[in-house]
Amino acid sequence: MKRPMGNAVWTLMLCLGIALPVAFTGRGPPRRAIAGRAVDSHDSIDTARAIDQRFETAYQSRGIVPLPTAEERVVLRRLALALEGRIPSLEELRALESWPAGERLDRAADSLLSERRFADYFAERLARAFVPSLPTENFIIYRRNRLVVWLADRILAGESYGSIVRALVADHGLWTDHPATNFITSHDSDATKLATRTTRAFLGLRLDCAQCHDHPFRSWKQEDFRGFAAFFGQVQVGLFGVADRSAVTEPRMEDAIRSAVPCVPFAPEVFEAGTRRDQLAAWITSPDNPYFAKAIANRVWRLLFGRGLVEPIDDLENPEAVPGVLDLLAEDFKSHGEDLRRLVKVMARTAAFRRQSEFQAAATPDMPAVFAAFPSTRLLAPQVAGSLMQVSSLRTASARDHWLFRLIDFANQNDFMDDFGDRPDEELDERAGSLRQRLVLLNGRIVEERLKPGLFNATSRLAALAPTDIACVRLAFWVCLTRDPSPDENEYFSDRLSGTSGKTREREVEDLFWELVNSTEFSWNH
Amino acid sequence: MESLTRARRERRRWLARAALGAMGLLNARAASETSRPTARSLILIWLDGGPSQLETFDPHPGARAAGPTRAIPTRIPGVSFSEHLPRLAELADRLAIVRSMVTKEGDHERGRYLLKTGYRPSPALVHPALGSICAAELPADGTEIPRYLQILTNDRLTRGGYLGDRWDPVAIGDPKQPPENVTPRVSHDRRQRRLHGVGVIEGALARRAGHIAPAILHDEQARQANQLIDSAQLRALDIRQEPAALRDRYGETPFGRGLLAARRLVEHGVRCVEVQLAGWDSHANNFSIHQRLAGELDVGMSALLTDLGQRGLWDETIVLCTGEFGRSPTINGLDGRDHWTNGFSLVLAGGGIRGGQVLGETDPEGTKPPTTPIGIERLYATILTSLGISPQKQHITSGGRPIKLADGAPIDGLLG
Repeated sequence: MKRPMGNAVWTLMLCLGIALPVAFTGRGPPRRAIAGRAVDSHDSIDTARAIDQRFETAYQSRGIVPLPTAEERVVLRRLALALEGRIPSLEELRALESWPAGERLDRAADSLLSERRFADYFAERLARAFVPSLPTENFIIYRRNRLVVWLADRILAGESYGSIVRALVADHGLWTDHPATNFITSHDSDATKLATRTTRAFLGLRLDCAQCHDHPFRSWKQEDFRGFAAFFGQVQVGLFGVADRSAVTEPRMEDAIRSAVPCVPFAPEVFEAGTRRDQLAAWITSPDNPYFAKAIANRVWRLLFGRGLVEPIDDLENPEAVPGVLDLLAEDFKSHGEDLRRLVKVMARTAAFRRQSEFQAAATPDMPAVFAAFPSTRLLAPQVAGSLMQVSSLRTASARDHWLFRLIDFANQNDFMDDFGDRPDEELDERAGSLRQRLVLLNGRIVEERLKPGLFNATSRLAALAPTDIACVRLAFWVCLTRDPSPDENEYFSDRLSGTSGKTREREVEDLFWELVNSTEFSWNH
Repeated sequence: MESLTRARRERRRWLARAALGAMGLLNARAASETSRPTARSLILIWLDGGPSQLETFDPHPGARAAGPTRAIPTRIPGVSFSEHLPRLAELADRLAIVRSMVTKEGDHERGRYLLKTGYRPSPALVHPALGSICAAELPADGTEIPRYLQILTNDRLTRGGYLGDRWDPVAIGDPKQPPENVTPRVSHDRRQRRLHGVGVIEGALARRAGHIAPAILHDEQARQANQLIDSAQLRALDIRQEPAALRDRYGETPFGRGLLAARRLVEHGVRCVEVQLAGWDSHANNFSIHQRLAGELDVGMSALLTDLGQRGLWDETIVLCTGEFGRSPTINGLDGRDHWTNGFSLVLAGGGIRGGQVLGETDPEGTKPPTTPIGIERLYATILTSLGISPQKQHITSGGRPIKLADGAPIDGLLG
């Protein structure tokens, strides 16, 4: 299904071969528009410093010496990967340099957070926790996409996270004009699945264990689970979409849910009027619910750091890496309109986010666990795909690109993820790459196409435009690994470029890009 | 021509041996000889969607539950298969048929997880797939290609789990096509030069950052990937090298080709090959669906078993044929059968499994539970034991918890 589309795009590109250069030159210098509400960073630094203090106290008492601050370029790479699922462009690296010292990274974060592409990518990452993604039927995929677009719109508009979750849990109507209802349809309207997902995704708690037996170490019991599932017991999908009917539908395997009275295991006083789902939504998102804000703070922390403050991320009853940090984040979140971008901003300003990782300095194995070293994690399939797309261009790929470029990127990215083996339903797992993924990078068609010399490809442009061999090597390292080459690397690669010109030089640069893309650093966030 | 006659001769010899087996002579000998495990590889024939036991290995002719499906006699006296499995009925004396599998997972995804890992799904832990266990625990013996392959499967559930992602399966499609991305896109010399360049970058990282454990894994994968690209063993996937007559016997279908590739891969030291035949989820039109699919299974699986026997791979290859559950004795309003976990069938063969026997008996109408109910953990213990892997072996999960490869005892009487 996806591959033919890719082919169609290439055919289209051939047909429009004349129109393209015109479109390209007509795009002018890249601009950044601030979409939606401006990101308020007024006092986010205060919360960030309070968090730093917590970490510092913990390090002192445990005798840990954290790694020093990393280069700004390195931190920009983390930001771009976390917020837009790609490495920074040469354009962005240049912009970073041009800004005044001391505010560079804050400005970079603001710039990324204002992009539609951030909202799209972040919504997709969140959706992986909110709805299942197994491509069972095409219809479901369209519904999921509708939900993701809706979520991205809300994030970009700065809508409060509480109201987003209330819509997911309690909205009713047709999936087309009420995209949030796809939270219900994507779980087959099944009360058990919905209850399990709801507690995991929004409260960071695991009910699954209570589902089949009384879990010895947790306070939630089997009756709690049945009562909780009963909140979804009235869901019905009909001609007019998702609705709640008064008669309880028959749950699939658990007939005990049928007779269960809706109940919550703590804080029952925050119920409001409305359908059972309305009541549940109000309870989940209530400021008095001790888990709601902490769960999203932990989740967003993991999206930025590759590792949660509490792990596993949906088991908040586990101990926190450094106690008190989640509380600080949750408080800031609640007192600032539950704005997801604000939350990101606070985290991006912490010392923890800007520390070196074991890729940059020697660290002991226990340091990443307490963020005394930035944790290094393998990139997810969409991040590798996004980075590969970015590598082939010196400009920032963005939502403001010409539609044809975006279409090609989209098709390529999907083809690539097909080959690479993306597992969108397993967002929670830390995955090392597989052999298959190595083969895609080594021999894959898309890697070849993105790196081979061509009119708009980065390889040709660098080969033609870099004034010296050394500059060419340095730019290639910036584009692919966001860092300067070491003296050894510089010597080896500029030697290879030395004396080359024209097609031979393009080929050399292509090889250099291929080598950088196939290095360990490229496939890791560090 | 000569090799063809040889193959035919071998085939006759093997069938004669099979006939002996039916009389119990061979089994008695095998039992005394094979106190140590002989199996070295596993072929999993995965019937995705949940096949009906009534239309395959456990018919109840005459019962209301049977519907229009008739039964035929097999090589085991008094034991019948459904009419859709005439070839396998002829080989029944080489098979161990378990008719009393019982699980608590009636959902496809959860059932697949249980059958493919031996454990029920847990939010806290990813259990390794059976194939990952085989690949990780059995010796490589010079095998350069990945030791756990999935053909036609796309379930995203089977993983290395706590054994590590390096034991994830490598999935391939219909072996009619060559596998993807194993052919370098540049000349040999240019590739060598590129790999040298990668080495320069990796060397700089190693000097800068000293010991990074994950990077070592990355290197290991690059090494494996490059070894695979260079390996002559990749030919194992090229079924065009097999005689046309043999390919015909397996059936010119993706499933048939997959089984043929599985045999070739096992010959090359691959430790587990999973071949999927999907589409058994017959909530409607159960009988036409099973007529078609069981027919395809009968052709392919009988060809595989015969081929394994002829090539002397019988004892070193254990074959498991199962889906995630069975189907209900009750026939629903759409002429379909729904999910059924309380007494379904699976088949084991080769690899030191004592053939010619049936375990467990189901109630025709499904109102009573089966006799000698058997859980998945015991199936796993049986298979692992036959492969010489102790089911009791424990690994420590990332959460620090010890866990056994299989939490049960081998099924009585199945292991020679």
